[in-house]
Amino acid sequence: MDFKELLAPYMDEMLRCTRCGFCQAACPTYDALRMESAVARGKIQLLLSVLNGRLDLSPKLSYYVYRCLDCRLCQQTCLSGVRTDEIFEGARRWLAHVDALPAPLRALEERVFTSHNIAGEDNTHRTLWQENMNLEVPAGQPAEAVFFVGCVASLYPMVYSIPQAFVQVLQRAGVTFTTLGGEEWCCGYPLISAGRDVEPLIEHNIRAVEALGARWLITSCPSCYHTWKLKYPPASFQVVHATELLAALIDEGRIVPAHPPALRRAGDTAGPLRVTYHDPCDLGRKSGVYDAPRHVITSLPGVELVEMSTHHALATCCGGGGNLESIDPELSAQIAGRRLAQAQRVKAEVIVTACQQCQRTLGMAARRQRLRMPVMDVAELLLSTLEEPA
Amino acid sequence: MPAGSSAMIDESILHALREIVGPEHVLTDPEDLLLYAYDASIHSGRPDVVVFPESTEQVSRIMALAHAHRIPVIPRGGGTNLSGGSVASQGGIVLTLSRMTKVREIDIPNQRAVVEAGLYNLALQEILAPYGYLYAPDPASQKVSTLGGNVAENAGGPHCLKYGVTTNHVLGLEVVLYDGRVIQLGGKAFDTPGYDLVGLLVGSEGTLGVVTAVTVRLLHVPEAIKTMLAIFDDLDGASQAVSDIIAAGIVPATLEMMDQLMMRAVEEATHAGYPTDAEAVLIIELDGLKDGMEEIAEQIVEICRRNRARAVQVARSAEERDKLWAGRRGAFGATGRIKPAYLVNDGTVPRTALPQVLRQVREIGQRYGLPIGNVFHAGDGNLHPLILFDPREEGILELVERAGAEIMRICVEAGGTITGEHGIGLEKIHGMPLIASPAAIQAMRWVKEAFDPIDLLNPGKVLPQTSVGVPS
Ligand SMILES: Cc1cc2nc3c(=O)[nH]c(=O)nc-3n(C[C@H](O)[C@H](O)[C@H](O)COP(=O)(O)OP(=O)(O)OC[C@H]3O[C@@H](n4cnc5c(N)ncnc54)[C@H](O)[C@@H]3O)c2cc1C
Ligand code: SF4
Ligand code: SF4
Repeated sequence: MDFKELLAPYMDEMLRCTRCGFCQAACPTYDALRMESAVARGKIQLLLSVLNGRLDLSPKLSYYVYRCLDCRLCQQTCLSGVRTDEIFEGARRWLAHVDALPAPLRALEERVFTSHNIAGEDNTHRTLWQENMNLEVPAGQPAEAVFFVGCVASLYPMVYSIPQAFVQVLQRAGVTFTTLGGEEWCCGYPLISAGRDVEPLIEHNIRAVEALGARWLITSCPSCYHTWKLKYPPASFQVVHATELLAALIDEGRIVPAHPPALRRAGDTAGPLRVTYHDPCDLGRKSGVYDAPRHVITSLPGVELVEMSTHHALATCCGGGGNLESIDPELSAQIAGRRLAQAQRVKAEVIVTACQQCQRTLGMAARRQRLRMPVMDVAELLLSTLEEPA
Repeated sequence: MPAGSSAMIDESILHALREIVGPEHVLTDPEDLLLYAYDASIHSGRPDVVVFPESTEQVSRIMALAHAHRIPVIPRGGGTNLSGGSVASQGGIVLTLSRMTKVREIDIPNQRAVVEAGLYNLALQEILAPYGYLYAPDPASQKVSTLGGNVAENAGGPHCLKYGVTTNHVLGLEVVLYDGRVIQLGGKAFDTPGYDLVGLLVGSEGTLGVVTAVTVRLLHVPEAIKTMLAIFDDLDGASQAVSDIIAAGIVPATLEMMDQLMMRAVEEATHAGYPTDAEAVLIIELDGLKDGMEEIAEQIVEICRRNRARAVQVARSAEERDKLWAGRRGAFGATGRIKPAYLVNDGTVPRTALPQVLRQVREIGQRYGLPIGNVFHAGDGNLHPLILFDPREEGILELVERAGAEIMRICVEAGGTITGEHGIGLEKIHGMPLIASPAAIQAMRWVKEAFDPIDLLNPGKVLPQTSVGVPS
């Protein structure tokens, strides 16, 4: 079986591509590689050739399809309105069905289905980020709000600071919440974007949250947010992104940013701190949340928000989108470097984002370049402006 | 794969290419060959190998190798041309300049810049903007078409009505010849002694040499800009207004026309604010000194009114203007919303003939039962009728090509020509005899012979095969 019927429904959509090549201008992987295999026009022509019987399935074809940030910039800018997201999703489902997943994704799949997290660690390690904090983080207790921490934030020490900052802000605002602790399973995002079905993960997670009687599920990870909101079946609770909650808490006066962020170093210029905000693809373009994080940032004293040359719906991906980091870490880093250059051009002192994957990707690139530009989460920046609790 | 060509490229040649540009910049897998088999036209042709040099020296070595082994070379920029110009119709090496993007020199006091051929047109504009300068030719594809491709096609754009096309702004070229020798033609000076080989190379569609760097003329960003949208309920009125504006001695920076079918596609794509219930609009832009601009604008409004314009709106902000232009630039791309494919004609006619030719185009569309949209450089009389179709329909391609050929013919009959800016490539090769006598084609062939006696560079393009021999 070649399962081409999984690809065939996208034929019409693919034929709408006029091969104008305009997607070259928007695609971050094309910008870095300057090869047609990187860009939507090229991927679409390859897939059409498969359907027309002019090209056979091969590891290279699969590699080209997966070497993509799933950032949707091509679709956002395509004048023919070609739904590249649907086409690529269909293509990846097809490739997953015919067992043509690139090796790193196969390994990822194995890890997620056996350990229930992307790192392949014992799932109880999900709570390690809470150690060394003067704060008890509840787990598995009935509560109105469940904080779904996400694999990256709970298992990659470089970004432990995100959930740590977020729960501290929640605590100061008097929000009662719980987590799923070791019962949190990967939301399935990386496998869905690889083309796999993740029913067991979906069922487990929904059941676990519902069992706690929650009305809200809060995620700080945009990919979890996007997945819960748009890929999971509707549940009895509402899915909220951390920045939406933080913006509401500020509006209600439950948290009061009191002083400028303590980020300045000796010798820095006076005046407000120049902060730029990097829109995570999964939060902005793919879920439509642009204002809440900006609202939080502009509510802080001593902070000036400056936009990079691309922002909101046209924001360039950080390089950590889709499964690119697993497929081609070097390319992912290169793309991150280009986004950092955009921040430098507007003379930002700090890059703030709302995604642990963006923060990792940009932070690692900054380190490689020896660039002294902190990359932090909205919650971290906010926390740094609050009065110490008495 | 074209007969014979794959045999030409054996492992030792691939090895040599890898030595020159590095193994990751030599592609031969079927997937990669397919990815370089098309451009923005309806033509295709698979190369045997694709290479990505990053310096003139590498291009030179590739050409020397190709020359020694008699392998065709097809230069390629962004692959956005509309005439099959960059497809490997006879196999060979596709030589992609996408990695050659360096800015070699920005010389503001002398208003010149020297840049490599793979740089996008828009990237150059962005580099110049902080200095208050611009490079005038602005093809609608500027964000993804390269300076090398612009030179090779002698690209035009909306603002070329006032400022002229690529050839008027290119002063020097670094060119790699068919055998690998590198020559510098022209330079920063306005004119160089001897034959105007820069002029010859511009528009040569990759058939005379590989352009590796371009010396361009820079212009000051104008002091003031005024963008107007004249809305018409009939096509005749719009085209007569164009004719009248030019006849009144006014030279706006742009004078573009878009008809209803195109406006509908564009609006769906960009929400630029075009009136989709109107038959046609003119996008008229004035630029230059503030002084006197208002009077010219009033004169234009008056001419439009006289030709039954429903309204003439003025863009109130830079944002509104940008939106209108984004819509205009995106027009070809947006046709995918109507039909999956298009054949775009590029004929040029005297402006006085516009109303009549547009009527004939419409009539051809009706006769063939094919939707034809129009969005074009009206001020230059450079038509772009887009014949929209679905390639899956049986026999449609032949119908489309016949309609296209008829349009070419009416342009020539009206005293015009078959292409204004998109080049001949493969697509219009059959139309060449319509505009050039056998002797003129022969003269062109002699030029080709002089530059490329063994037909290595982009073979099979531009010049129709003739039975007339070439001088030995
Ligand atoms: C939506 C759309 C709108 C367009 N609008 C316009 C417009 O307004 N005006 C206009 O003039 N054109 C327009 N075009 C056509 C096209 O963009 C131009 O012809 C452009 O100049 C091609 O540049 P490229 O870099 O894509 O070249 P390619 O398509 O890669 O190549 C074009 C030709 O140039 C040759 N070539 C490329 N680079 C070199 C080089 N370095 N040395 C020698 N030969 C070379 C190739 O062999 C080929 O023959 C449009 C195209 C599209 C799809
Ligand atoms: S911009 Fe859209 S229509 Fe143009 S080549 Fe890319 S996918 Fe195709
Ligand atoms: S989704 Fe992003 S990375 Fe992938 S082809 Fe589109 S623009 Fe390029």
